[in-house]
Amino acid sequence: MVVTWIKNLKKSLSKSSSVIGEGIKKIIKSRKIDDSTLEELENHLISSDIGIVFSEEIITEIKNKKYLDTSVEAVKKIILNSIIKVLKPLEKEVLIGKINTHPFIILVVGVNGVGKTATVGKLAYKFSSQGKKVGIVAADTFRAAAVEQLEIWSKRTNSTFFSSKIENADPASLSYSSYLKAKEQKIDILIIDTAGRLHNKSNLMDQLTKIIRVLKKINASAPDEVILVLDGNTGQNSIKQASVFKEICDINSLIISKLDGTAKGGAVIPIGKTLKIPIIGLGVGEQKEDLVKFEADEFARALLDIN
Amino acid sequence: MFESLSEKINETFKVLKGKGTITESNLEEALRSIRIAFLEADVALTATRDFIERIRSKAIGQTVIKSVSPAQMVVKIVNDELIEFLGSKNHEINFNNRPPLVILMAGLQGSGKTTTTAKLAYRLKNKFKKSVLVASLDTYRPAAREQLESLAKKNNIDSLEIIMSEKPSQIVLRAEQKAKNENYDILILDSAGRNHIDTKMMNELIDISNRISISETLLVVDSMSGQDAANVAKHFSDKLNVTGIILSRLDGDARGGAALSMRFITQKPIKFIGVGEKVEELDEFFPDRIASRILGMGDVVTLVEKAAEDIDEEEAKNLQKKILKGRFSLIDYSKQLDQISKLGGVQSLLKYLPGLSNLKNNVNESIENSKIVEIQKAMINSMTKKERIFPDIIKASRKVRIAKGSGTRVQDVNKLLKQFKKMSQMMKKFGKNKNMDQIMNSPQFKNLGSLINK
Ligand SMILES: Nc1nc2c(ncn2[C@@H]2O[C@H](COP(=O)(O)OP(=O)(O)OP(=O)(O)O)[C@@H](O)[C@H]2O)c(=O)[nH]1
Ligand SMILES: [Mg+2]
Repeated sequence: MVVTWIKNLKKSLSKSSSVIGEGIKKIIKSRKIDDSTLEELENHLISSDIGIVFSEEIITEIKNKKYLDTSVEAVKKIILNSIIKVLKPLEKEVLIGKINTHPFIILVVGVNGVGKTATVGKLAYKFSSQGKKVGIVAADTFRAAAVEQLEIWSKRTNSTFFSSKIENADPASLSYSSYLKAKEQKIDILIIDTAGRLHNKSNLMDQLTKIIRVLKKINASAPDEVILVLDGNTGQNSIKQASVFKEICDINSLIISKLDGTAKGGAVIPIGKTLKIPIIGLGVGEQKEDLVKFEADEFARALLDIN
Repeated sequence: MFESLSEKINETFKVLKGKGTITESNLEEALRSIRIAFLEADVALTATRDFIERIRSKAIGQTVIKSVSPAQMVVKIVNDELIEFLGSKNHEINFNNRPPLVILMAGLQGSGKTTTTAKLAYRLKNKFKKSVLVASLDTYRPAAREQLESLAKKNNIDSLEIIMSEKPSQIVLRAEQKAKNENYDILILDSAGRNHIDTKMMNELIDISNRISISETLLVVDSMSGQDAANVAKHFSDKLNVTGIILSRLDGDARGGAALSMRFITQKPIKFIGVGEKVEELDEFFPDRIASRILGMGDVVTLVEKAAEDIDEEEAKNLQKKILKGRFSLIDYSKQLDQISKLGGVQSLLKYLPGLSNLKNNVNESIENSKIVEIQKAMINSMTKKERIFPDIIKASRKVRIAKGSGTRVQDVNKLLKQFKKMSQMMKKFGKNKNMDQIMNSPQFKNLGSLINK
C-alpha cells in the first residue's frame, strides 16, 4: 500500500518537479558556480513557493561549502539534504489503531475552497477501507449545498452521516450532538467537516474555538486530531494561515491538497521550519483514493527530480 | 519573516539617503528590496524579473525630489508603474454583443467560481437591471449544481433547472436555448474547477466554447495563489479566449501578487475583486490598492507623494509671482524646463489650466523631448547671469561663446532664444488673464504633483 502511494506521489509530482529539476540542471550545467549562477538557482527555488528566506539559506549553505563539487548532482544533493532535514521530522501517520478514545475525533479546518470536504471524504475512505466504522459530520452549515456535498461523500465511503435538519444550524451544537450519537453507535472515527473561513476573520475563528470547547465537555482530550488543509496552489499566505490556525485551534496536522497540478507545494518547507506542524497527507486528485502519505525523502526527491 | 523584510528595506534607505539622482549603484540596492517584496507577495518570478527591468530603465537618471532618498524615489516609481500596469478602464462586462450575452467562468478547483457567478449575476441584475440566467456545468463535484441553484434562489436569481443525467455539453445548449426563448439579457455559465494541465477537462471547456457563442470568458483566480499562478494563467489563456480576470478572496491578508502575474501573462484586465462571502461583496478593481499591497511600502509612497506636493506647490507659487509681475527670465525658463519635464510636457501642463487650451497650439511640442530640455539647459548654464536676465543682449559673438561652452551650435542657441520668446509671450498672456489668480489657485493647478512620473 505504502509503495503504491509513493509511486502515486512521484508520478503526480513529477509533472511539476521536472520543471524545477530541469531548471536547476540548465543553470548549473556548463558553468562554474558564481554569484549569478547561485542567484538564478535561488530564483528557481523561490518559484516553487519555498519562500525567499529559506531559498537564501540554502544558497548560503552552498556558498559556505569549502570544497564544492560543482556537478549538477552534487549541488542538487546539497539542496535535497537541506530540504529533507526540515521535512523529515514532520512525517506523521494518524495512529488511530492505537487510540482507544472511541470515537476518535478528527476536526478538519481551513480557508475557503482549499479542499476540506474532499479531504474529509478521502480520510473517511482511507479509514473505512481499513475496516473502521467511520462517521462524518456536516458542520459546514453556512455554505450553500455543503451538507449535500458531504452527504454524497458519506455514501461514496460507506460512512455514517451526521447533519442538522435546520438550515444554518449552530456548528458547535451539531458537533456536540453528533459526538454523543457517534459514541452510542460505537463509531470508531468521527470526522468533522467545518466551513471554510479566512484566518483573519476573528468572529469566524471564534466559531472554531467554540466547536472545540463543546467537544471538550464530553471528553477533555477531544478532538484527537485537528487537521489544517492547505491548498498547494497557495503561496506565502500558507504560512500565515498555518500560524493563525495553529494559534487559535491548536492544529496538530497538515494536509496539503491539489498537488496534482503544477503547483509545487514548496510552502510546506518554511511552514515546517518555523511552525513544525507534522504533515499527514498530500491530496493528489479529486477521487476518494487521491490522498497519499507524506514522506519527506520522497517529497524532496520528487520536488528536485532526483531518483 | 515580514518584519525582516521591512527592516532590510529600511537599511537600504538609510544607506542611500540624501543622494541627488538615481544612479545605477543606488538603484541596484533598491531594486533588490523591491524584488524581495514582490516575491514575498507571490508575484511570479518571470513577472518580477520583467517588472524590475522596466523599473531599471525608467528610474536611472531621474532626479530625486528634495527630502527623500533615491531608494524612496524608486519605491514611488515602482508604485506608479505598478498602478499603471495593473490598471485598466475596461472594468465592466462588455454589453455590446447581442443578447443573450454569454459569460463563461473558468478556473482551478476551489478558486471561487460558483460564489463569483452568483455575485456577478447579482451585480448585473441589481446595478444594471439586466435579466440574468445562471447555469452550472459542474457535473463532477458533488452537489456543485445544487450549490449554485441554492445561491441563486436565495438571491432571486433565475437558474437553469438541474437534470442530473446531463453532460456539460448538453447543459450548455439547453441553457442557451432557455436564455434565447425567454429573452434573458445575460447567461452566466459556472464551469467545474479544473487543473490547467488536465487535457481532457481543458478540452471540455474548448468544446463548450465552440458550441455556443461566448462573449466573455472570465478567469477566476484566488488572490492567495503562489508562484504557479503564472502557469495557470498561461494554460487557460492559451486554450481559451480569456477576456478578463476576477480575483477572489481579497478580504484575506494575502498580498495578492497573483494579480500582477495574471495581468503580466494574460495581458487581460482585472475586472472585479471578491471581498467577502456575501453576494454583494464583489467590487470593481482598484489598481492602487493592490499595488500598495504587493509592494507593502505604502508609507514610503505617501512620504514621497507628500514631498512632491510640497515642492510643486512651492514652485508653482514662485512661478505665479513671476508671471503676475510680467517678468520672466531665462532663469525662470530653465526652472520651468525642469518642471515641464517632470510634469510630462507642456501640453499636459496646459491641459490642467482650464480656459487656456487655445494656447496649446502655440507651444512647440518638441520641447517635450527630454533631450532638447537637456541641451537647452546646458546652453542656459553657459550664459552669464546678465545674459540670463536680459536675453536681448545675446548677439552673434555671445551666441558663438554659448554654443561652444555647451557643445552645441549657434542654430541651437537661436532656437532656444526663439522658444524663450514664445514662452515669454505666452506668459504675458497668462499675466493679462484676469482669472489668473483663480486658475493658479484651482485644485487642478495645485495638484500638478499628481502628474509626476506620468
Ligand atoms: N485537483 C485536485 N482537486 C482537489 C483536491 N482536493 C480537493 N479538490 C477540489 O477542490 C474543490 C474544492 O474542494 P472542497 O472539498 O469543496 O473544498 P472546501 O475546502 O470544502 O471548500 P469550502 O467548504 O467551500 O470552503 C473541489 O472541486 C474539489 O474536488 C486535490 O487534491 N486535487
Ligand atoms: Mg467544504
